[in-house]
Amino acid sequence: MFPYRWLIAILALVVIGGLMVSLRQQRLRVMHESIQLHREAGKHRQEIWGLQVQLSEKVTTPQLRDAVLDAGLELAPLPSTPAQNEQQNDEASDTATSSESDVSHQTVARRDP
Amino acid sequence: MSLFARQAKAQKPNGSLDAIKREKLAQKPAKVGRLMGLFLTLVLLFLMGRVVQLQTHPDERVAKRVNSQVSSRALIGRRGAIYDRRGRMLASTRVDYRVFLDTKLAVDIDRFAEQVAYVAGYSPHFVKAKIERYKRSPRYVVLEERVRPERLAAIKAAKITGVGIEPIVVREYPYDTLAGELVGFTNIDGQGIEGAEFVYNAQLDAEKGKIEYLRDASSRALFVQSDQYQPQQDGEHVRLSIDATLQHICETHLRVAVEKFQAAKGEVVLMDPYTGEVLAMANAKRGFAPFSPANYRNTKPKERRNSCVTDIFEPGSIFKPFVWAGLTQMGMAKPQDTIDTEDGAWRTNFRRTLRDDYGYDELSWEYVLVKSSNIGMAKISQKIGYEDLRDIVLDFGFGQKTGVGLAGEENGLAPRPAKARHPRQLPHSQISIPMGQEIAVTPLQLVRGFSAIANGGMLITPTVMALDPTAPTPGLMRRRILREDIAKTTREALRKVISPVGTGRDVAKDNPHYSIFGKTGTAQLPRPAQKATATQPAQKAGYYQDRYVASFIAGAPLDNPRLAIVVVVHDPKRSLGLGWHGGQVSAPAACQILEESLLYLGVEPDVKPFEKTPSFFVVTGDASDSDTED
Repeated sequence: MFPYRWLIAILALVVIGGLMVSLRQQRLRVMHESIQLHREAGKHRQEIWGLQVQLSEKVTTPQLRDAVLDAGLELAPLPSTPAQNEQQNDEASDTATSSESDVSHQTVARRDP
Repeated sequence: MSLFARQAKAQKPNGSLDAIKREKLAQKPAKVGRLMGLFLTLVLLFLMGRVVQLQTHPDERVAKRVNSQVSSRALIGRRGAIYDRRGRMLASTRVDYRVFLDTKLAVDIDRFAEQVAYVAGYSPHFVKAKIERYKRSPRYVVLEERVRPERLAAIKAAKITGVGIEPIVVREYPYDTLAGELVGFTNIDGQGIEGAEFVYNAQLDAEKGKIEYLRDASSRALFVQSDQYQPQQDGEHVRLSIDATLQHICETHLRVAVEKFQAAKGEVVLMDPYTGEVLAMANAKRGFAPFSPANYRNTKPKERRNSCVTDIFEPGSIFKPFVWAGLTQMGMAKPQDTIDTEDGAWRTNFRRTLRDDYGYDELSWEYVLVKSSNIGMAKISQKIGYEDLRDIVLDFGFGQKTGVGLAGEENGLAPRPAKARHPRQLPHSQISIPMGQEIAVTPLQLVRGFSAIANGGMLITPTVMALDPTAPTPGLMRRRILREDIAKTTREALRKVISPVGTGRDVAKDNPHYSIFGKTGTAQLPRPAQKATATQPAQKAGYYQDRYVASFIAGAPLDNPRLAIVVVVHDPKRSLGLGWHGGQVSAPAACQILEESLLYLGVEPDVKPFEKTPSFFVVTGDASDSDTED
């Protein structure tokens, strides 16, 4: 009887030890994955910085102006009130001519008809 | 079994000895098992104790070995970006890569150099020269800073032993030279050295983080403990008050003026007169390309100085509106009062002769300003004491820093107190100061003082930081220095300067859309004293007869000024025959800037509707604009 009890105890210890090792292994894997993710996040963050700078370099005011002009868009004064705005849009669509508003308040890009 | 039972068994005659032996043999495995169990328990206990000891108090050698598997890495924090008032990025930080060589890891240097050159697309001579140059530090031979992405990918893919790649933080300026002097730059450590980068360094600066992690035998990161992770702290972003489009307009026109008149340099300051926000601050220096912060290493300090705040000059006639407004407020003259201007030449009672460019018998006080009469200004300023005149100058903020907070800002030179001067000098000063002599100012001080005339009499503190447009009181510090009616009267008089009868008549026809009011100035350049040479005799300090500072200070529109501007052009070449007066040199640039800027800001023309298509891309009104419009 006595050796069996020892055997069972030892086996139980082995099983518990194995389980603990397995849990520890899992914990290590999770932590490893977390550091990988951390690195990935840092990398993406740095890529975003680069992209932001690239974007800013491509849309400077002079470049935008040139792009608008190249695209054949005409810059026209925008009336100050919504009513005048609608009226001007109507006129523009009717006459298909460039706007020469006598009340300019803001300016927008409008497609050349 | 008890002792008595054993004895009884032993006394039995038949086979009792065998039985005892058998019984003893049967008990032996149990004893062995018990001993084994004891032994195993002891071994396990020992092992557990050892584990505890290793975890809590490891041996020094063991601890050293474990620690050698811990790596630490700095986490890069991002320095804050600098934006213009509309959120356009003027400066930002990104990560780039540097390639370096560890030549100690190379077996054959020549072969190594050729291999690196082949993979990365360098010339073998270039790589060898680099290795040769870094002979003293063979483990860190910097091959290239800021490597191109395709080259970086090739190097990474090749995995050559001895070639390393490390990230570096670089500062980028997407608008390149635009407002370069104002934006400033950082050094290699990412610390602001000049301009906004320097002034707002504490705000922009980032804090590095640190991470410690356990690595395996192949140096791969295994895991990090939470108590060994210190996150990085990114810097705060800064939004400047300048507008990139307005800055571009100012720089373009200033450069054209400086080149056209072959002037030494020029400055423009454009300001919102109500809030004190500097909307544009431009510098142009002949002989130097516009300053690019990214290229600061190849420039001299004088190329990149922001002369709008660091350089002072004698303003000349553009100073007259300040004294005129002050004298009018003190009741020394009314705009309609007639002044005897002596037909353009007047000898004072202390035997100094004053001259006007154009002689008039008499002028109204208003036309003294419109025609820029030195004699008229001198006669009225003599009605007050020297100290009162000095107070007028100081009230407009001259002779003191504006509070804009930019590095290297000059105080300028204001009149000293009467008791600190010789009594004989005072009468001279009293007629020199109203003409803009004996004082020195910066362009920013001028436009600040002029803003008080434009905004109804409040002296404001200028700023290059965008202000909160929803704040109840726009602007920073405000102090009333002029009555509202006096400011309006001064503006109306200055409006006549930009008319066929004023000194700004040359530009009167060129600004058809907005009612601009302003003042021209043409001041002779001061000449330092010169020692006698072989060819020339010694000369006292004085003024050059043919070298000037041509300037123009203005605002628009008349009734509700949205912008105040000063354009200063130093030493335009008179011999070109294109003109040298402020009205000829600086006024056209100032008026064009105002016209384009007001259109850009969506301000309704108050003179004549627009008939032509604007030539630049625009625009939505921002909150601060609508704020000042009310």
